[in-house]
Amino acid sequence: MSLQSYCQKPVIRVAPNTNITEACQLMEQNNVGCLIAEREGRLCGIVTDRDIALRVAGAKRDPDKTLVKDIMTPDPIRISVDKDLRQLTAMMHAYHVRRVPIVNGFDTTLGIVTLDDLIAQLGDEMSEIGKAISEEFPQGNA
Amino acid sequence: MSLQTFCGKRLATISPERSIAEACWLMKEKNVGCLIAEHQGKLCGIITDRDIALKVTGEEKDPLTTMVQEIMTSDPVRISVDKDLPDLVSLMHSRHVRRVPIVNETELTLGIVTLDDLIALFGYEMSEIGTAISEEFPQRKA
Repeated sequence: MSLQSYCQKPVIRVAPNTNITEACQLMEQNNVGCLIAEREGRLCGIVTDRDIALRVAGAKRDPDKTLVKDIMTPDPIRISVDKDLRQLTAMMHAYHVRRVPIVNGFDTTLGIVTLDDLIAQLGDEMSEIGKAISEEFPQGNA
Repeated sequence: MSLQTFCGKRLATISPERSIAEACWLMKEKNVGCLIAEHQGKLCGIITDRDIALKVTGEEKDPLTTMVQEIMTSDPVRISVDKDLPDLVSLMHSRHVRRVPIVNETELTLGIVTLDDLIALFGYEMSEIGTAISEEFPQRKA
């Protein structure tokens, strides 16, 4: 299974020179917890709501004067769209990340996949398996 | 399974009259994404890193002079320690929350349980079940 199926939701992109006030507005308007920073069409960073809480509010920086590039995680862990689900979960485990940008051969971000996406999918599959088992052995429903 | 299992770990509490700067410091120090606000030993609010990013930094409020009580979600969804796991799951589902404080009869917070805790527990149980099945039918390992 290719990672293409996780590239359906829009990626919210931001230029690394955007200030944090604008970045917050983007997160709020799009109801997302993280933004992808791209420079010349290539992934260069990722910034989360937690980064903003701890590295801006917590560090007493001015959000108008602080830029995304000042607080983002530069060169974040990413995965090629050609890889599969198993490689993705191994990567999340090894690097302790719960969000992974999916990129093409030019390092352009095609999507972002989160642990929550994987859990939701697994939940659906488990539910289907549960139904299949109940129908196979209907007496087990008693 | 009693909810007592989820009590006692990773609980960070703060007074609603503390500043956001202090709240950030506490989140960083304890490595948590949310704090429980307690007033006279009773649960009165909950505040997350996302709340701080969007409602403080995003609205250009000063973290030194803004208080936790101005930003927190007051009277958050909670669950009594006497309830059980299915009660908790249906509460999370119906109220669309992923973190639930666990309280005793005097509204004192004993712990906080997150969707992540439940997923980790479920993953562990599934792995145990998988092992049990493999051992029951060893020929399937081939």
